[in-house]
Amino acid sequence: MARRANSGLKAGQIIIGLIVLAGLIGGGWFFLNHGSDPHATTPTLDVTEYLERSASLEGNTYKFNGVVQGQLKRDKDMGRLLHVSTKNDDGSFGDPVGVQLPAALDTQNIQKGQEFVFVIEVTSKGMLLVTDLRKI
Amino acid sequence: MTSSLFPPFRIALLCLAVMQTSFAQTDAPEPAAAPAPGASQSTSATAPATPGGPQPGFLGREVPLIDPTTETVTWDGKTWSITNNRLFRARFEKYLGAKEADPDEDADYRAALDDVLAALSPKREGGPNLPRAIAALTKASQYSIDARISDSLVNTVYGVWLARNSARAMAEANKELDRERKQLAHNMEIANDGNSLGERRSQSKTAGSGEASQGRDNVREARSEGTDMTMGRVGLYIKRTAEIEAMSAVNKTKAGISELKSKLEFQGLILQLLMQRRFEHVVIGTRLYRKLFSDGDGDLEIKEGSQVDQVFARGIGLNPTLSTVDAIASEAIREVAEGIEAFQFYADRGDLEAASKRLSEAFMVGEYMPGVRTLPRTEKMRVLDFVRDSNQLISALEVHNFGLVEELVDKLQKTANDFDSSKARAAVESARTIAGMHLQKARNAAIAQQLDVVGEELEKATTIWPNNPELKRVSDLIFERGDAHTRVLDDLNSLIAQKNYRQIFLDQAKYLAASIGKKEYEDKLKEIIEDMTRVQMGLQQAKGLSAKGDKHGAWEIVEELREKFPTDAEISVMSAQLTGEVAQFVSWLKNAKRLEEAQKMGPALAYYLKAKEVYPVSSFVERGVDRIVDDLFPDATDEEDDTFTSSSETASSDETESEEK
Repeated sequence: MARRANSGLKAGQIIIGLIVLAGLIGGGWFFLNHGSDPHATTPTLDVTEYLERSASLEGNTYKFNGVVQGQLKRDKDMGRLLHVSTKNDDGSFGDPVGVQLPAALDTQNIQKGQEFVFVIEVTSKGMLLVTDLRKI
Repeated sequence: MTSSLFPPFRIALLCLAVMQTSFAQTDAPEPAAAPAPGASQSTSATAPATPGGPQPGFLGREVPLIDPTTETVTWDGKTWSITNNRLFRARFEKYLGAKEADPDEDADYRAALDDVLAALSPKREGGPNLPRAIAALTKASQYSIDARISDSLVNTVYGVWLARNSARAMAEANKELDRERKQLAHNMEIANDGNSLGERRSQSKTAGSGEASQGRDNVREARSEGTDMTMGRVGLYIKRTAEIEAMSAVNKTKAGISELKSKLEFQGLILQLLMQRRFEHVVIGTRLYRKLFSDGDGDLEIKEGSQVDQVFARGIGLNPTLSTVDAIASEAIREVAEGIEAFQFYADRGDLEAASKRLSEAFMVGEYMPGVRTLPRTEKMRVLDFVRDSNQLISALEVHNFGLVEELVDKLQKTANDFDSSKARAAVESARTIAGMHLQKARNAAIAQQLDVVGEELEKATTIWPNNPELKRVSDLIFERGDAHTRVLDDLNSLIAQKNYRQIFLDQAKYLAASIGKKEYEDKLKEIIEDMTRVQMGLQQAKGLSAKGDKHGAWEIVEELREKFPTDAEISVMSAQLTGEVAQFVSWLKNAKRLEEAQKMGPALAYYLKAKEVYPVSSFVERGVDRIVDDLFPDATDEEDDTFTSSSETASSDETESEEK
């Protein structure tokens, strides 16, 4: 008897194919979204640890998302000191921190309520000195 | 009054004996009466009447003079009270307590004296009998009360007799001398006659002879020899006559001097007896004098210009005579008798002051008079207590013991109907008033912490009234207050060291009172009280905020107070209570402060901002953030930043933004 020829893909192959396709799609999406971020590998600031052990963080660079709550000081030579509320991953507000924006980076309009990605360096005094700033 | 009946000059003499025996023994004069407290010393009490020291006078002293209007005696340049003299008072008290003289013995003695006077009386039948008087005097001298004064009179009379005998002998001698002088005169006359007769015989013999020339020579020779012999004999007569006349004159002078000496001795004795207040003997002496001397009523031979002479001259304007002395003695005898009578009258009435005064006057004048000596002790005892209390009153006034003065015045008023308490009471009231003024000044000075003034015023008050009970009370009060004051200041120092300002605040009245006059304490207290007032206001404000639900605001107020007054219990309690209610807020602020002090400005700022999110108007947060900003932006200038605005609305104020959040 003649066997009927295997004319279609088997089900297993189809599933694997779908998985590969999904991987490709996901990878493309990740690439599209993160592939251009220079601080993609910069660790996120652990605010709790910062508050408790800032000394251990000194000299390190971190990034975090925060919403500007206010401006504590501004000087044309020294820049700004901002009151920023950190944002948690779930979008809620975390602890507030003070962020020092040097005059060299003080080139854009900053208003209360604006959310930024702050790349900062922890100084010897524990200050969060902005090294990069990107509005979200 | 007795003294008013005596002319001053007489009293002066009567007082001599008292003065010589009493005052002369005391160097320190005794004041007549206590001077009014606070007033100047009375010049009549002890001030010299004349400038300079004691002046020489009769018996080396001034003659004492009594002023009856003030009952004072001026003597030796000083003025004394008659009865306030301490020795006189002592003698008078002794007299009052002494048993009276034996009446029988005294009567016998007086009888003997009366016999003397009777024997000398001109009215006596047969005239005065001097030997009998001398015999009676000798008998009187045997009594102890006489003190041998009668014997002195007898001896003086005997001295006069001796003088008289001597004068009689002188007169006999002069008679013999006169007889001899007459014989000599006769001899001289004979001698002169004999010389003329011989000359005539020689001339007749030579004329009958023839040898005329030789005869003339012999005559001349014989004349010459006879004249020489006669002249020599007559010269001897003349010399002898002159000697006799000189001797006679000497004898006459001796007799006169002896007479005068006797008279002076007798007068001196009479005056001495007068001064000794032996008035009966004075009378006897004057009678004897008149009997012995022909000038019986003659002047007393007192040195002209002496004090005694002046006293007599001032008193009566005449020379003193025996009659004057006799009258004084007789009057004194009468006065003493009247004084005793007056004493008994007043004592019967209960007028003990007048009674004691009359008796003291009688005693002073006639201490040896029978009325004074024989006054029964039971009679004298009636005024003894009064006199003792009066003397004690005088002493109490002298030493300004006015408390005792008041007691004695009350007692004397009860015992004597006529006691005049006005002067004593006035002295007490005056002392009380003036001392009270000084005590009040001392108390005020003590409150003002003027210790020098306190001492001065207390000393003045003590001088016026040493035993003033008010003085003791006030000084105790001042010194107790001084102790209390010291204790309070010690407490204040301790509380300041402990920073226990609340206790100081609570007892501020006490500490303020203790700090008066001490600027360092006053300033510190003022600062503490102002601070604690602010604390109290702050605590009240915190309570109000807490009640309204503003726990954070309440905590901040209390915390600020606690930082300033960490030891205040009330602040601590309230702080602890509020800290529990805003523990997280407090924890964040403390962390922020700790990190700020550790120069970890970043996390410190983060904690302040966390706290600000809870209590946006926190002053602690504001000050902390400002400090951190200043640290991070030391050279920044305050500049307006109009570019920073809210994304939804323009907002330049961080606080406003936080509130909105």
